[in-house]
This record gives sequence, C-alpha cells and structure tokens, in this order.
Amino acid sequence: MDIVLAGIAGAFAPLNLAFIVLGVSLGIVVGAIPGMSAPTAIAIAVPLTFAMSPVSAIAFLLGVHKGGEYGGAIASILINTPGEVSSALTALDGYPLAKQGKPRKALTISLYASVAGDMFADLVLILSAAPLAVWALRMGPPEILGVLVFAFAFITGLLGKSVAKGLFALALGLLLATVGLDIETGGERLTFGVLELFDGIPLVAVGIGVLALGEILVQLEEHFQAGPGEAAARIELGSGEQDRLSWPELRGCFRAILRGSVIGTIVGALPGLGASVAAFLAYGAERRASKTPELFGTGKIEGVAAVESANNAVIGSSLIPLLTLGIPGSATTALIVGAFLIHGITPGPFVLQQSGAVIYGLFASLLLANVANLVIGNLGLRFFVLFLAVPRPLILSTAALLCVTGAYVSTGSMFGIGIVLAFGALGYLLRKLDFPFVVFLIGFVLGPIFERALRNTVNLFDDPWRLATQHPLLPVLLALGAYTIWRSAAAKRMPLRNVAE
Amino acid sequence: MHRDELIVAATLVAGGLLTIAVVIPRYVAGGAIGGGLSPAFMPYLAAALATLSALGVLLQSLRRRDAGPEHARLTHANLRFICGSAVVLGASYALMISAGYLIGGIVLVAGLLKLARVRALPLAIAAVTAPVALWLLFVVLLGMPLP
Repeated sequence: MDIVLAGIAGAFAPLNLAFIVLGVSLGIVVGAIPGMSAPTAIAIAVPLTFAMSPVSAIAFLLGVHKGGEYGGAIASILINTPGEVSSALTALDGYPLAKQGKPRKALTISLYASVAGDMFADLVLILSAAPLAVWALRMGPPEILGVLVFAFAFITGLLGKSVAKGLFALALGLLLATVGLDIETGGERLTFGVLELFDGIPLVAVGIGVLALGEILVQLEEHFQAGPGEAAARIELGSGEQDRLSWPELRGCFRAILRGSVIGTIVGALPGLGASVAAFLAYGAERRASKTPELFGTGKIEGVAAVESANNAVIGSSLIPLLTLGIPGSATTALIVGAFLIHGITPGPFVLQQSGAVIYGLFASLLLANVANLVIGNLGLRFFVLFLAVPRPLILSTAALLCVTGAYVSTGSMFGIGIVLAFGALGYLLRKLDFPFVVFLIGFVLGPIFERALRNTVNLFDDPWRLATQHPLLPVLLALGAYTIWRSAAAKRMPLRNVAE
Repeated sequence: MHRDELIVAATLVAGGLLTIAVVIPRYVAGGAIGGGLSPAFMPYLAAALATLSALGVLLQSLRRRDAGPEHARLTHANLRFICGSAVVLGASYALMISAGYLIGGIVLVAGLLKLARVRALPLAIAAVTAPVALWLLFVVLLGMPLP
C-alpha cells in the first residue's frame, strides 16, 4: 500500500503535472500537423525525457501519445488530412461535419470520446495489470519462449501486405539485436571490432531512426516530387449555435463511445493490432448497430465518437502486454520500452515488484493525462488549429534535427547520430519497399529476451519429450504460431489471386 | 516496377547467404559454455530465417508477374531523392564532427528544406532559428552537452 501511495504522490508532484501538461500539448500540436502521427511524435519526444525522473518521463511520453491521437483528429476533421489510418476513419464523418459548418461539434465529440476511451482502457489496465503479472510470474523460460514465438507469428501475420516480408523484417530485427557481446560467453558478435557496438546497437537511436527519421524522409520526398505547394489555408472555427455539441447529441453518442472503448481496449491488449484495426472494427460495429447506417460517411457524430474512443482506448490497453509480459505490441510501445530502459526499468512480470512506485505513479499519471487532455483540448482548440497553417517542410526539417540531437543526447557520442542516420535510411527503405517496419522494431526490441528464453530452455531441458510433457503450453503456443502464420499467408494470397483472375 | 521488387528480393537472398557463409563465421566468436547453445546459434537462426523469407519474397514476385501494379517500387525520382538526402545527411554529419552542432544543424535543416523546394527566405529563417532554438533548449535549459 505504501508503494501505491508513494506512486500516486509522485504523480501529483508539481513538476510531474507540468510534464504531463507539456506532453499532452506537444502531442496535440504534433498530431495536428498534417501527415504527422502519434508514434512519430513520441519518437521525437523521447530525447526530451533524458533529464526527467522515470515517472515524469513515461508520463510525458504517454501524454504525448494521448494528445497525439486527439491531435490527429484535428487535421482529419478540419482539412481531411489524417496522419495515420486510424485518423482517416475520423475524417469519414468528421470532415463532412466540418464542411456543413459544424467543425467545433465534430472536434468536441472527438475530444470527449478520446478522453472517455482513454479513461476506460486505463482503468482496465490498472485493475488487470497486477493479477496478470502474478500469472505471468509463474511462467518459466519455455512458456516465455512459446509466448514470444506466438507473438512474433501474430504480429508478422497481421502487419504488412506479405507474410514473407513480415518474416524478413522480423528476422532482420532479431539479427541486429544479436550485435554486441554475448550474454553467456562475453564473446564478440557482429561488432566488426567497433568499440561502441560492444553494448549492442542503442535501442533509442534505432527507434528514432526507423520511426521518426524514416517517416520524415518519406514525407519530405512528397514535397521533393510535388514541388512548392500552395500555402495552407487558414482555418476558422465557427461560433454559431448549430456548431455546439448539445446534451442530447452527447447522450446519443454514449453507446458509440462505450462500444468503441471496449473494442479499442480488447484490440489494444493484443500485440500487433493497434489503433487502426480498433478504429475499423469500432466504425464497422457502430454502423451495424445504427438504425441509419446509410448516413455514415455523410457527417454522423456517432461515427466520429466510435472511432476516436476506440483508437484512444488502444493506448492504455497496449500497456497490458508490455507491463505483464514485457511484449511491446506496437511501434509506440516499442519506443516506450526504450524510455523504460533508459531509466533503469525493465518492463515485464517483475516490474510491479521491482519498480512498483514508478508503475503506480505511471497509472496515476495516465488518469491525470486524460484530465489534462480534456482541459487543454477544450481551451486550446483555437491555438492548435493555427498549426495546421504551418508549412509541413519547416516542421519536418526541424523534427529531423531533433532526431539527430536526441541521438547524440541518448548515446553521448557522434556514433549515435550515425546510427540514427543509418536506421533512418533503413526506415525509409522499409516503407518504400512495403516491409513492415513495426515488425522489424518489435523483433529488435524482443530479440535479446527471445534469445535468453531459448538458451535457458535448451540449458534446462535436453530431452524434447520431457520439455513438452512438463511444459505443455510451449508446444501449444508453437502450434498456434505456425497456424497463425499459415492462415495469414493464405488470407494475404487471396486478393492476389482475385487480381490475377 | 515488377523488376525492382525482383532485384530487391534477389539482393536480400544474396545478402542473407553472404551473412551465413562469410559474415557470421568470421565475426561471431564461437564456443558454447557446457551443453548450451553456441553464441553463433541466434545469428545463424535469424540469418537463415531472413534468407528463407527473402526467398519467399522472390518467389512471390516471380509468381505475380501479371498481377497488376501492387508491388513495391523505387523510381528514378526516389533514387534522386535518396542521393540528395544522403548528401545532406552525410554533409551535416561531417560538419557536426568538424565544425560543431550549430553549423551541422544549419546545413541539415537548410539541405532538407532545399530538397522539399522551400523558398529562400523561409528556408534561411528556419535553417538558422531551428538549430539555435534546439541548442538553447538542450544546452542552456536542460544542461545537456551537444557536439
């Protein structure tokens, strides 16, 4: 109980509250910039956390994530330019509402739904993390190995257009994760004699490079190919009565928000699915449940509410596999792992025992970030809208410099900058060639844990039959993983056959 | 183009085989402790998986010869951008080492804005203000050293 109280007290510290407000504001601003997404916002924000305490750092990044998801809705609703797929669905009904002269109504329901989805998922996380961690603590190396193989299969099967490309990205991540000194023998592995590689390739630099710099290069290229564009239009928010969200309208969205929150929470807890899948499922469910499905896509606020509650609910619940099993299920959580490690915290079943005060502080900070999102989103709307008019190349080039700066700060040497530039180039190529970069990043993050589980399993059991009988979960999970890959490959071949026919 | 994906997949297969045959034997110290796995096991496993999946990509692209436009491509415009950005990133990296953060930062921001075809005045303003602002933030406000 003392740990819980200490964590909550830490969350309410004035400096922590200031970082939460700063994180949410930064997230909304970056998310509102057309083409920028929440993961990019987090990758850019990671370097700013080096000087913070562990609770403030993680709370700041989660604030950026929550703000970023809502910020994405601003660009989608006002100028129909979503930064990611999940926000694209917000634009389906949000943009028609803006065109009908009701942009404030769409933005308000989007904010309320986002905060409600966040709150629901955070409560589920808080209530389920400890029991799940206790269950996870009973797992030995064979079970961890099975869970990781299944998670790899699940993520590889779901993300990207081709299972073969997903497997390649995973294998590349696993291979690069072996760089450094061997955990058992201390022998060099793929270091090529470079001293800086003895500790392995720095995770934060890899994350910033693949996630942020890679995306920045892709977006700058659009301007390179399109030439100088027109200046962005200045957006005016209306102030008329018809543009205000009324109580009956809000009440009419309650079911949509609840459905979206439940769907988002379930989807977020499964590694690899992410906000886009949650948004699609929530939008589809809302449409099926509606008495007027034909009106979806023409400016129905229930559509905005369902999508926004679902994609924000993913944020809290994506921390469930991270905090209980140590498995990051998305690009964003992979980056948050980096932030945890920087501050000496290893996510996984032991985290509540070893860093209980930090985790309970984090839980309290999550709830505080929701309140901050609600207040800042309401009060600062006119201010955030101004960022839609800032030319994108100016922001992208500054963000690129921030990536480079962050790499230097995180590694303390020019070598880190070299890593960011190299992995930025890799991130660009992975995107251009349709290899799922998220799978690469998850393979890289989980590579050392996977290898340790594999080696411990082999050390403990030299007889496969004994291993299978004493730890039946391992063969079950391996079989499930193989089945998932086979099903995904079959499902992804299907459209190809149709095209060929 | 379909040819691009074939070239990429073939290069990845060749790279995977090279890693298995040359890189891992030469750059991974062997010798396990007791009856455990060798330190080279995991690199071999990952490289083998990468090679096999690259082979899968190659076979897939061979099979979908007539399957329409849905495959990855690197056009001449992409290659021009890659060359341009490589020059900008390389030059700014070299300048950060030799002349410091501010000069390297100015070249990075200016170069990327030039690639994005931003006009001269906003380019000049952003190229100077962004590095200075970040330098002030990290060095003065957060007390973190920069090159």
